[in-house]
Amino acid sequence: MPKSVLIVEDEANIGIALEYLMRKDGYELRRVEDGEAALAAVEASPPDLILLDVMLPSRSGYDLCQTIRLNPALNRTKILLMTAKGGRNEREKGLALGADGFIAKPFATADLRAQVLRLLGDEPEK
Amino acid sequence: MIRWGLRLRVFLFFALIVVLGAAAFGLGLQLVASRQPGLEAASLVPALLVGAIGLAAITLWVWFQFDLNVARPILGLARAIETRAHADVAAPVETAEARYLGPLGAALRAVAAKLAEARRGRAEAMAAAAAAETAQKARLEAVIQRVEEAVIVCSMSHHVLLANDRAAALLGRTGAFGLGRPLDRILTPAPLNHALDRLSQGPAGRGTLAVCTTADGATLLQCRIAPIPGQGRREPGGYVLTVADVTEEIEAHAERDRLLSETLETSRRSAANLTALLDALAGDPAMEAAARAHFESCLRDEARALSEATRRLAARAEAAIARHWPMAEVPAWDILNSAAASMPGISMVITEEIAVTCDSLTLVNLLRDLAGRLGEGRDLVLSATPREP
Repeated sequence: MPKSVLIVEDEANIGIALEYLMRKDGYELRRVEDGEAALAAVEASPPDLILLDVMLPSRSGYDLCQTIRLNPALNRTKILLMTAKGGRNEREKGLALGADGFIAKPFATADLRAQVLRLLGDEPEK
Repeated sequence: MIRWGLRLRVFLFFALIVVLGAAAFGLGLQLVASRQPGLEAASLVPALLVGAIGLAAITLWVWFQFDLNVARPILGLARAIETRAHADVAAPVETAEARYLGPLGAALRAVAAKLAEARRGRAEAMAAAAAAETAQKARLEAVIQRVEEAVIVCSMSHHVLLANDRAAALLGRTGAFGLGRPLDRILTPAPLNHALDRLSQGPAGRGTLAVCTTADGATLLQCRIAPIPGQGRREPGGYVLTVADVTEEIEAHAERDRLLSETLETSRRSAANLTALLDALAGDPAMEAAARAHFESCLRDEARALSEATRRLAARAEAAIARHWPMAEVPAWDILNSAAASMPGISMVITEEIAVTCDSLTLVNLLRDLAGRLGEGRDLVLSATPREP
């Protein structure tokens, strides 16, 4: 059974590109564009991985990450944060709020794929 | 205890003399009558009365003279000295009535003169000190008026003692600034008090910096605070505040920080979008034509969005850089004079007094550079004329 990935990204261009690439890699894909829709999608059907942008309309990626981590029913869902604010503080904040990985924009899609594989347990940790 | 006056006591003393004298006279007559057989004591009563009245009359006359020439003058001198002890009376002590008191009148006159002289000396010293203080204040006022920064001299209770025109212009718009008024009602007091605490704990004479806002929060001020030594005490007698309005500067810094942050974020976001789109296109040579066209369209949109964002950020960057550049109003004469100073053979023409708002250092360097390039082997004329509007 394919692993499921939820892409939460309000930027349409990167959203469709990531959606295309992930789908091509064989994942079951859903994509939403804001925090509230993401929470509804997660609660309706928890994915194996959330590819979560930090800057979102209505609810930030940090807020969403914290909310998900407070729900024990969702503790098997991995969260990979993406942000264009690529500072060390952002990374530490994301990981402290319960994210499993962090990737700063811009990134090579190969790096993103490697992180996704690692988080979904398809590749051993480096 | 009853306190009788001097004149009453003297009078009673003389009355006692009369009583005791009359009694002694009576006893004497009685003694005479007892030794003379046949002489009755009653026949001596008229003699006793005449003697007693005579004694009383003489004593009254002596008392009157004593009262007039001794008791009253003593009281008069005492009043005069007491008056001079409590009030500033310049007139000499009147001693005409005390002519029978020997050297007492002259001595008291000398005491009063010395007292008046000491008073005059003290008044002159106080006047000299006040004049020196006024002169010192005037000199200090003149000095701080020449200072380019806004300068305020305050007491430790934050009351304004002195301020130059720049300070009045800077803080006058608060409507509460003026000599004698409390500064801590115009500026936020907490940073001011904290800075003064630091001064009191640090090495003597060292100044410190504080950032305050005006009470209405409209103006951000950078204040350099220096203590004024107190008179013979360790605690400062007040402090001098050098104030600069940094509202514009801080806002400019904040705008540059925002701009840098937004530029970085926009670049990162756009680069991520472009990379993901290109990777999707490059990673699938067999992509369907419709999907490929869609991705290519997205690439063009992304490139357009990046160009637009770059134009927007560049416009803000230009404004932010121009805003930060330090410019001041400088006489054109000073600029040309500075430029010509190191270049022989340059003459200057100034048609009228012109003040130029510019970065004078850069302008001087530019003129020197141009003169250096153009002026080899020929004389140059630097001229400044106002441009027609």
